[in-house]
Amino acid sequence: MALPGQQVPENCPSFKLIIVGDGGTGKTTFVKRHLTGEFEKRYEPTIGVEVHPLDFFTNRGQIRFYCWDTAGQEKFGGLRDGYYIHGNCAIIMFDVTSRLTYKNVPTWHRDLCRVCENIPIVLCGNKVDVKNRQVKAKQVTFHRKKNLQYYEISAKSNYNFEKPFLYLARKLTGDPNLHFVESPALAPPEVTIDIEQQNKYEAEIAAAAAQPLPDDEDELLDS
Amino acid sequence: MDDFERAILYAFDQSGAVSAEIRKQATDFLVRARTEPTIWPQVFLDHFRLSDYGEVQFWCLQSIEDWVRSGYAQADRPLREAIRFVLFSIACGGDGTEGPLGAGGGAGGDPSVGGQQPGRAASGGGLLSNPATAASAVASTNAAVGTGFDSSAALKPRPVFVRNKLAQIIAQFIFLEYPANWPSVFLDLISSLSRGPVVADMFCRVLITLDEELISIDYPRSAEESAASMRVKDAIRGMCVQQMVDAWYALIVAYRATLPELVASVLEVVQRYVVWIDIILVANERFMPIIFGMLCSPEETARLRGAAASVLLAIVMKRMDAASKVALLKRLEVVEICSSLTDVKDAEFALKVSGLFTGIANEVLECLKKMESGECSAGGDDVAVVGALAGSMLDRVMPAVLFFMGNRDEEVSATTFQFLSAYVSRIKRRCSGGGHVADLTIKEREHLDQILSVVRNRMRYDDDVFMSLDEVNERGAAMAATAAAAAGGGGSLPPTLEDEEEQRMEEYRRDLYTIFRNIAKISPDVTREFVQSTLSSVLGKSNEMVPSADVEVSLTLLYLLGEGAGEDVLKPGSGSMGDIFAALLSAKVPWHGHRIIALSYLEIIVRFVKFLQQQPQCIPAALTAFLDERGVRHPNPNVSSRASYLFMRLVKVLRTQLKVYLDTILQSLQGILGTITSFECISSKKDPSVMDERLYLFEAVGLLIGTDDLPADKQLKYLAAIVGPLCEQAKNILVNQTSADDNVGSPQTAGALMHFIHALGSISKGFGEQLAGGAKQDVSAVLKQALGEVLGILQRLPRNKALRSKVISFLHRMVECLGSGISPVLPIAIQQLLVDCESRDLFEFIQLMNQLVNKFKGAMMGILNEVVRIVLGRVFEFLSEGITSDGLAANTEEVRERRELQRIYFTFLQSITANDLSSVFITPQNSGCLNDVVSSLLQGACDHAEVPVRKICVQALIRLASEWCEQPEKVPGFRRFIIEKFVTECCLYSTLRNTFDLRDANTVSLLGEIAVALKTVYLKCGDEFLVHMRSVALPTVHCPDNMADEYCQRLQNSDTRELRSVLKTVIEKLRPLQNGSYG
Repeated sequence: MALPGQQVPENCPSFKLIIVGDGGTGKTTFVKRHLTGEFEKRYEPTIGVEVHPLDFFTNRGQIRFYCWDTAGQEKFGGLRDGYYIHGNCAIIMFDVTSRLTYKNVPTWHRDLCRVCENIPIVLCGNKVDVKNRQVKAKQVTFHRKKNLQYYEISAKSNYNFEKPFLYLARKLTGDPNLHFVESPALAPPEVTIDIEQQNKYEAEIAAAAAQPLPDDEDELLDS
Repeated sequence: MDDFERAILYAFDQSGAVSAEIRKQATDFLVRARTEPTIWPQVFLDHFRLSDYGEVQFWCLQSIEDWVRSGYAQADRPLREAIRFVLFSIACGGDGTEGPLGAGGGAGGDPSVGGQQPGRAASGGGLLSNPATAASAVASTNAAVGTGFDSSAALKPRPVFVRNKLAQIIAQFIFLEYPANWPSVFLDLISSLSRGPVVADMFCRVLITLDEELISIDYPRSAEESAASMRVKDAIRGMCVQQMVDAWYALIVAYRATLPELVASVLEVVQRYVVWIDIILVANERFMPIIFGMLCSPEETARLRGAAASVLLAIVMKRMDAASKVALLKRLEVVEICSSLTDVKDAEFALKVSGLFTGIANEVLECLKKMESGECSAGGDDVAVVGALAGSMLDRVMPAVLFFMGNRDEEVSATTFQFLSAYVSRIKRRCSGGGHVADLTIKEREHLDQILSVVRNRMRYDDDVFMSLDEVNERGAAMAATAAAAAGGGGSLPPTLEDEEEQRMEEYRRDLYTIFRNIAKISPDVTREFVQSTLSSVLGKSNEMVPSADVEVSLTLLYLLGEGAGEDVLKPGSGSMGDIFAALLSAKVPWHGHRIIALSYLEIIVRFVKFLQQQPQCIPAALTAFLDERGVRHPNPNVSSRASYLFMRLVKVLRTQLKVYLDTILQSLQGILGTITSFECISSKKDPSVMDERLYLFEAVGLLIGTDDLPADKQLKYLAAIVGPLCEQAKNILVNQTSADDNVGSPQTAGALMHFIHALGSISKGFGEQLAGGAKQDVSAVLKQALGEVLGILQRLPRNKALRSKVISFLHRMVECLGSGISPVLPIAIQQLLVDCESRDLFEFIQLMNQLVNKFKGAMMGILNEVVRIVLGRVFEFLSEGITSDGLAANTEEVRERRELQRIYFTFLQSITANDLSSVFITPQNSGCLNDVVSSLLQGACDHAEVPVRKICVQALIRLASEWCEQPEKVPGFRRFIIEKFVTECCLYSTLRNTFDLRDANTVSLLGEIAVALKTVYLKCGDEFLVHMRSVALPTVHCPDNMADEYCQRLQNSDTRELRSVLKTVIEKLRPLQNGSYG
């Protein structure tokens, strides 16, 4: 399964990993964080599929995920779910700042499972670094119904980048104690989720509090 | 392999073996093939039937699926039926050649297409007049039949993804044609079951896919799909449900012994369909014994037993009223039969069984709740009977639930939490309704005691794991320190197994906490005694006598117990919560050095801080714990950091009481404070721009020094002693760690300076606003001098964005702290901040301007007049790139950034206008921007996607209207703009759109603002305004004359509150008259 110019190291088990989810949820950004990938600010829809080989180093040696980054938009044409064939594991991605992308998760899951029965799947809520998220962690319940693993991630800040891969590696090797012994080189984080921001918000809130509050707002709502 | 197959395989290839060019040729060929009459559909169907490659079969089906979804409706009926026939024939175990397409291609017109043909074609299959016997006949000849069919071309087992794709297309046909044009589909499938397990497998796949694609409510559906779902369900219920259920039964009986996987699929079908078919079709004498049999028999596979558990759960959860549900549960004897099911070794199965018990318990509980609230169909005495029955069922299922709650497997144990929470909440609700603990039944009290002890046992860490959590973290800390030198690559250390273990435990414990808290509310005495006894069993013991995990869980329980504890329960007295805490403070805690135990201990002290306030004699013990190696001097950096934060929390409450210890505290902390901000410490960090959590110590110190009742001379002495050395450090860094030609600085230098600025800001928090009025000049002078240092840094390294952001934060603080004392430095600071100002910087800058304008109001006129056009110019430049509000591209980082900038820009305009500074827009320097400002406000007020932003824009326009609309006009043409544009488009047209949702609180608030706007404009413009409304604006929206008159009347006579109600009524009446022109 090697790509041109690339060789799978000897004794390095490799797995086909399918990444699905609505367009714009950050699938391409996510895979590109690994190695030399650069965070893409602009929206460039993936056409069909791109395959990225991502290596990880575990206490039991190197493993490789061939990440099939599939397009999230097209309805007809192309191979679509044809790309899922022989998938060993999968990531379903949604965007916590867009409710619709979470609503479509069951459909992605269904289409995936129709082609690949019984593979380990991770659900990822991306963009948790954004302040006004629309899907709160509490509202994410789908994974419980279907026995998936759920992680909140932020491709932009590398937050929890490795978690999905670690989970899948453990499931695929059947070794619950497997762990990564070194981190892959990631693109440097673009944002940090930091407490410092708070200080500035305090000032903003103070300014907002200075605004006159209109009287009895709910009066009309109740009627 | 022929060319067609080769093209498909090439198109699929991602291995690199096929060149991109050839792949493109192959793909193009395939796209063309779909419209090529010599190829479509015959070659597709043939290759689906006969190709040896799964990918080829799949691709052919996918192309057909595309056609079914897009071109089907337009196709000729014979073609539709012919294609359907071939696919269905194969699904039914035929070879697809019996149909009209088989020989000559083209769509011949066999009149019997779609009828019973597959059945007819089957050799000796015949109709299943009695499926049960027929299927057992299948079973008896299974071996022979199975091998015979598997070797035939038609029934060779295809890959799972091909079978599922086929099922998906059949489901799509059902969605389009059933029952009107294809009434026999299910009976045909059923009658083909005699052809063996491959068809049975297909039968299950079709039914499961149909549920997923059309019926199940777990997926978003269009209105058309929902209607089709009803149609299909009704037709099945009316035409063939009995035969279908019989077929399920027959398959279970036939294959239970030989093909448990297939039977598990049948059970999945049953589980899905039981939701909407008559329950009695399954919950009966025929089905239940076999389902229970599979569930309880250790000989069956775990998968099959699990599937049986799921069916049973679906039956138990079927929607019905409480009395029927209780009767059903009683009749099925689920509780009795399942109670033997506690020996479960397989983890997956354990999960299913635990889910089943919890589901049963939940259903019974729901019934009880419904009966309590009067939603029960049984009348009078029956309610009591049913209630008693349900109550006893609950008591009987409870031991099993508690058994699974105690299961070592966290996933299994977690399945019970939701029910247990509901169970405890129900009792809590009853108790909070005036009841008392005494009202608990004996059983309930028993259950609560049991739950409490399981909570404790499940919260407790495994001994080995807990010990390793301490050791490894030290290793982790050491590694972090050494890795710092090599940092720069951006990689982070991989999370250790132990970190993960701790996170997972915390996650798992969260639900246990909720249950515990609720029990504590229901029976506080019992819970307190429970905590006291667990704690006293560990306090004062030596490490050898008690396992560390016991200590940890006892402390955590006390921490939970103390949550929200009021002052009354903290008062000392026999056995009070305060006594437990005092006992903790005075005793030796075994394993205190353990990272997690040390942290728990400090968290508890902060939680019980009100007790310390009442009992100051206990303060020294608590204070010492914070200052020695159990707190800020703990060898583990995680503990010392967190201790710093917690110490600040402690100080916040005990400021006054701690005054007497001030010297001791400062002496004790001096060394640490110097280290935190030292260049050596910061430059050795992996990421120097991440603030050290120990900086909270500066806030704590600031709070202590800033205490109001400390004399000014003492304040000065202490403050200078802290701030002086800090500034010295910063000066040295600027001198020694920067070079003349560098205006960004190294990460280490910038990091150290950011720590310095942060420390100063933290200290200043302790002073609140006491210096703002110009009091305590000497003390202010210290901070002003520090401010000078900070601005010096900005001047020296102007291009470091992170540093600049820190300076802005600090300025925010100084505005609050020094008040107008900051004014002299503002012009220079602001000028500096505008250098090289990008979108994100601009956001922060405007934020600062907003604070200044709101704080200093009119005094800002001079500065504002200088900077407004620069700021606005930049804003317009950034925003001109566009803010699309919909479409996929809307969610990118840049668009989000621009939206935030736009929001803060509107807030800026609103702050300026609200603080009587509007005239800044009409000075000679700035009047060039006026048009852009006003039209952006109008657009924001009418169209902005976020209602609160619209309100801000309306507020700003109201201010402008009230200042500029009077005659003679200050701004020529403004009066006309307000009347013809603002009032008409925003206050009238925009409110008539459907997006103006009057059920939304924000919109109601906006409407209130619009009422104020109308009133203001009336007062300023009088008749000119009324005439425009009456003769132009209202007629444009088809407002009837009498309503228009009334509207104008109300504008004159009503106050804004009445006017708001009037507007609401008008909107509701006018909206239907708009024909969508404003919708």
